[in-house]
Amino acid sequence: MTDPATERAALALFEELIDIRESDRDSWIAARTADPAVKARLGAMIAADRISSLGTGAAALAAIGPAPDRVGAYRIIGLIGRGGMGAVYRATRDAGDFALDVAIKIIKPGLLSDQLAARLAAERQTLAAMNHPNIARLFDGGTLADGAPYIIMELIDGQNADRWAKEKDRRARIALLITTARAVAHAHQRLIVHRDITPANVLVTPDGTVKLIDFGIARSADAATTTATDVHGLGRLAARLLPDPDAELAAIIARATAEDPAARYPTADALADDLAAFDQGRVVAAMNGGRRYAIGKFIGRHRGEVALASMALLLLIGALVAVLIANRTARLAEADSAARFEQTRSVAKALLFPVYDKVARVSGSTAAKAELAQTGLAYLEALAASPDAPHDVKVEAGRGFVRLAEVTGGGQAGQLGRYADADALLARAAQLLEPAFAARPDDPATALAYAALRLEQAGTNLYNNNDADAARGQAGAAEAALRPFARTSPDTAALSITAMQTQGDSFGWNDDYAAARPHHERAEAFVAALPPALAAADRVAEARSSNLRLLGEAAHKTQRPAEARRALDAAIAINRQRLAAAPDDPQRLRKLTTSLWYAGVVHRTNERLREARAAISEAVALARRMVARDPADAGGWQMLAITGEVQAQLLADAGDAAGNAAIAAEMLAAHDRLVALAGDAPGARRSRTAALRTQGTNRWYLKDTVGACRIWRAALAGYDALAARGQLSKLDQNNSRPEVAGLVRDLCVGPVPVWRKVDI
Amino acid sequence: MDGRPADILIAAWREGDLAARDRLLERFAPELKAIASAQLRRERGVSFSSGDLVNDAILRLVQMGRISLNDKAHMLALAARLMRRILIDHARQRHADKRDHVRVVLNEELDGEQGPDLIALETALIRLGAIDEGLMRIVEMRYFGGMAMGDIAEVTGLSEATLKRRWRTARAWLADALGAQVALDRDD
Repeated sequence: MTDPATERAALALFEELIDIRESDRDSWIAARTADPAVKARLGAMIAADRISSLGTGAAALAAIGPAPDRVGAYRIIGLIGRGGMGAVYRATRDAGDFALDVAIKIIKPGLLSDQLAARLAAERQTLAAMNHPNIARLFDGGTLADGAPYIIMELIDGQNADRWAKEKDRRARIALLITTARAVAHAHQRLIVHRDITPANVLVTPDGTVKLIDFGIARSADAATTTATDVHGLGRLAARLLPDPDAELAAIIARATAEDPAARYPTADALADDLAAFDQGRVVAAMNGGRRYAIGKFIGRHRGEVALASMALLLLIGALVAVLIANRTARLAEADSAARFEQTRSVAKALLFPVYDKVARVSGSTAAKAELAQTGLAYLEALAASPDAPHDVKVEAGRGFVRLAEVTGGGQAGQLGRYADADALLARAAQLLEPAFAARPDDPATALAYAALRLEQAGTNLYNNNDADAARGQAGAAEAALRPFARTSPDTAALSITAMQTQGDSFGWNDDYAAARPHHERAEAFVAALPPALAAADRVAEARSSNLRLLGEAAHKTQRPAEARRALDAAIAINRQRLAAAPDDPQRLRKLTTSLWYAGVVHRTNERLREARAAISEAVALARRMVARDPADAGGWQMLAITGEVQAQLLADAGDAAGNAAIAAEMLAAHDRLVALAGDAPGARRSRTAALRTQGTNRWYLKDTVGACRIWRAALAGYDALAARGQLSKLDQNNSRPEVAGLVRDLCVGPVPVWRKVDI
Repeated sequence: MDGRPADILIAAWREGDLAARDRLLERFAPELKAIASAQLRRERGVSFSSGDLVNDAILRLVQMGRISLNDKAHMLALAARLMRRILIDHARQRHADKRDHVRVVLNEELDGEQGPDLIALETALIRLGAIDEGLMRIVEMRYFGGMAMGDIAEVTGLSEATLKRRWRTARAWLADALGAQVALDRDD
């Protein structure tokens, strides 16, 4: 061993030497040092650099040498082809044990010196374990004496897809595409990405068997390569094999090859399904879909908001990096497919549950939540797509879809207001959870997931789609599913309360408070009978406060003021306590705002104006806080709309025309925002119309007859538009619309209507 | 024990405070060790990439809420150092127990099939560190941490061009040293 000074000198020279042309090196070294020890060390390092398979320099450019005579137990008998990466040979087994002809791909030494060699080694094992009739088998691999990596593959005697397709009709070509996509999906479930799906890599044997070759091996390592890359490749293959597509096929190709990966089919199986649907004359999803595209677009528009510096962002980055790295790890790791599956599952779980929950508790996180959820979607699809996925995996995937529905626009929590997407996601969850619950109704986790689905569906139907009957049935199903476990955990208890509450609200929503009240009372009785520890659990307190608010409403509407006030005060107390414990929690903020708002409404009706003003002023301030923190969250706008409406009434009561106009403008702007966020869904339009009706009345009381009539006419037009689409609720049909029509008819006559005192 | 939060320690380390780095090492060593052992157990008998271990470990810490990824490059460098220590300990243990070498696919650059004996690599790295500590750190980050050149550039403050030259230099030196080391091993 030489001394450190010599080593240092040699290292310093080597570092400079790298940039010197090989032919100039000897003279360069001679000019730089005369020390024979340094020269010797330098020479050793140059030699090591050159012969090392690590080298990225000249070795990479070396031409392919002559074919070796043999590789392992195989004798080379011919050349199949040559390419930039190396050559493929035909070889026959020569070990005397059994006869087998194979293809051996020998990669130029040095070419794979970077990530590729590691990836090749890593993927070989998983590929070898992959056994699919439409994927060429990989038998073995290793490194030749000169450092050239090789792989031994199943030998396929066949035509490539291009040539084969020349003599085939469209139906046969579609069948080939479906088979290819299914094979790719099989690989994706094992987290292997092909990376280069081309006609040359899809072979058809003389007996008509499709074989996908060259799977995921020895191609440029690109961190961005994902399963979406292969969906794109399949789309291009389809475009090539189907040169004159009609509208539906064109839509399928367009979706598969969409520039934005999020707009593509989520899985290769989904593409195969759509091709099969086309082949069988069924509805093609690509034609009426575009929902994922819409989500992707939405997220694209809100990327700036994701950049808000917050804990949420850090968590989000953590989660996204987790996905990327898991993806990479999964590709590199030599674990078997079961371990890979487990890894995918744990990533999806971490992403959708703990991380999502953490993000959900932070204000300003709506766009982050959506992106997080969107990322999880791909994993969920992968999990759910596995035909032999275990029961609990299906339940988990189902829960994941319910979560996604919540974040993309559920009836309850912080939402983006994209109702249509929530419906689609819940339908996907139902596909998984309905059979799971039918198979295992006695399993608490399954029952819980199923009940959560039914409740989310009920919330969406009731609050977004105005379908109270469907909502009641679903909430009842949730309650029944939970019944055996209702008192076993905070989660089941809380969900049971919400199930009873939702049944009550399905009546209250359509003005039948007498029918609603018993359900809300039933939920209170359920809480009273819970063991104290369970009743005190935060989730239970949260659910109870919602129910108390609705109980207060039902009591108020059925002329029981004392019961109403008791319930509402209890709800406010619970929510104040919960917000004090977590002042930044948007859900708690929303709950307190809601209970204050409703108490204000009831106080006003009972002519306790001081109490009403105090409660509403606090509620409006809280709602403005919510909107300022997260303008993408429909929940904040909703609170501003409803609290602003009451504030406008209170100011009109006090004769403050200017104050009323100001808050009404703020309130109606919030409604406009909600209608836009909801993609014109009936629930949002109905709320806006109701607000117009009330504000018209406010202006009338303020003796602004022109303003009142203008606003009432707008309300009437709103109801008629809803009715034209069959979306007018019973409440509006029986009460609101006739009332406004009567006002316009009776009061708004002549160019300047004359004010008179009326009892509205 | 230094009670400062991890992000404060990382900031101090970025400012050059080596004591802060050592505190971080102490703090995260048990967790990283647990993660690494779990991986080693699960993948026993199969070679694995240490870079994946490092990334996985950092991620788990993030998921546990123990650190943020704001200082990704620095945390990876820290984890690379820990991972080196953990893998070497593990290799030594196995070596003592079973006279059997652990085969580890060091990230990206060394041939998976003929990955060097870890203990030989460690001996060479210690020598390299005595000659040029900077080169040793680059190897550590690249081999054990699987870090991208951009991340290593961030931690070392070197330009990527310089870094590539330094990396190739370290690699050549190591390739030469490991050749010698294998012969040395046989004499043992």
